[in-house]
Amino acid sequence: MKGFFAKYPAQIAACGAGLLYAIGYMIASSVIKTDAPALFHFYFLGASAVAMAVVTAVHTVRKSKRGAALYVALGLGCLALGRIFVIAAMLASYWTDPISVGFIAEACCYLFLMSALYLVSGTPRKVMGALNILALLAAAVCTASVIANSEVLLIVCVLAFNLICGGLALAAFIREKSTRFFAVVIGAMCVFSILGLLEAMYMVADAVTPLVEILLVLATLGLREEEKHA
Amino acid sequence: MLREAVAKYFSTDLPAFALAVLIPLIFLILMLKDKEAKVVLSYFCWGVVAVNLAFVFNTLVSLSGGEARLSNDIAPIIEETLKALPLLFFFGKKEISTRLLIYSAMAAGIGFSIGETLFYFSMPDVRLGAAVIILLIVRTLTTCLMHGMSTAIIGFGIHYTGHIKPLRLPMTLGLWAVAIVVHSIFNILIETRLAVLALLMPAVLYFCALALSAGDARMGKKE
Repeated sequence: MKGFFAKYPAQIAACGAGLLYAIGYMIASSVIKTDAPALFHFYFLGASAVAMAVVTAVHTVRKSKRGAALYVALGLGCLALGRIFVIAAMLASYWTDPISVGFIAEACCYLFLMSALYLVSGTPRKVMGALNILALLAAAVCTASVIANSEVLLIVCVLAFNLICGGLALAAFIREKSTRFFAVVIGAMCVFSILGLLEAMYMVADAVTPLVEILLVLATLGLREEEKHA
Repeated sequence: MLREAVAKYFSTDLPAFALAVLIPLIFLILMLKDKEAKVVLSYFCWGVVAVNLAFVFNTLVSLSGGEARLSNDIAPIIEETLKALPLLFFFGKKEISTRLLIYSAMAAGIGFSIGETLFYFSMPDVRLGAAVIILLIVRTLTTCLMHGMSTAIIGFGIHYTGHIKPLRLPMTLGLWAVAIVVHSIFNILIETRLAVLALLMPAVLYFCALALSAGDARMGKKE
């Protein structure tokens, strides 16, 4: 155990910081009755997503063969853009409805994670073809949810993306020993995203988001670029 | 409602602009012998047609009560989808020329932005003067890059996944979402005191793309 701490000090510190932040945010939200913690968390999520996207993109350009890591970098970039959109809308006092274009980006980032999982898991082409059709339908539902301003459609599309991605993560976990950590992190991301749809679990899912994203970046940095489909 | 939207479309200068641009370009496309130039110009023409279709769809949304959400939420979806539609032509191709694909995507976006700028500056409440000319230059510089780059982003996705067919669809859809959000952020910020950021965003994207393509060309020469 001591060796483990000595081997990965920065990674453990980052995870510890993410965990502490999650606990701190939950305590602050329950103690402070104003919306200040939520507002801080809102900006923090935007900044952290940008930072994670930059770290992964720099790693992709410098070291990776632009395989799965590139797709994760694009996915985190898409997520960051979605959050920047919401911050920009807030700064511009444009806040008409709960469903906006930012959610398309936050939901569609799973498309990139799907691609990364396909590359590392060795999923058969036919299965991926079927999943692609489901993803296309989910993206169409997502667009319809923004145009029709429908929360139900947005929930359907988030569920669909998470289930597709979760299934691929499970396949990657079973098939490839070397990518198990990566698969577990993406699986956890999907589980928290689904839990976040429940009102009772929203706070916990929201609080652990930075921690899960840190883990995703660490898993991507540690990913061996031996794609099954390259 | 569709009839009303079409009637509104014919009351604007858009059909005249489209015909004035398209007819000479079609003659040019027919004359050209270079296949790549033909494809790029055809995509440019599609961009000009797409503005007209986007106007009709946007008017439909506006007439059905979506006016408040049109510019920031709905118009980017309609416009990015329409601009990128002919890129599906590259989906079935086994060998994709990187240059051709990205140039074509950008041409569609630039064609769109030219139609849009002509339309905005032909509105009856715009009176030509020094201030309007400066506005026209700034708008042309930024929106043409924004429209061009947002479609080029999607083209990049199709090119990049050329050798892994099952990834083409998720990658293209994902980058389509990115293009929509970039467009929407531009639309939101341009109307605020953070307009400078909106003006810089497409320029940054363009110079990143230029640097990437210069890097690729150097790599190609080394190989």
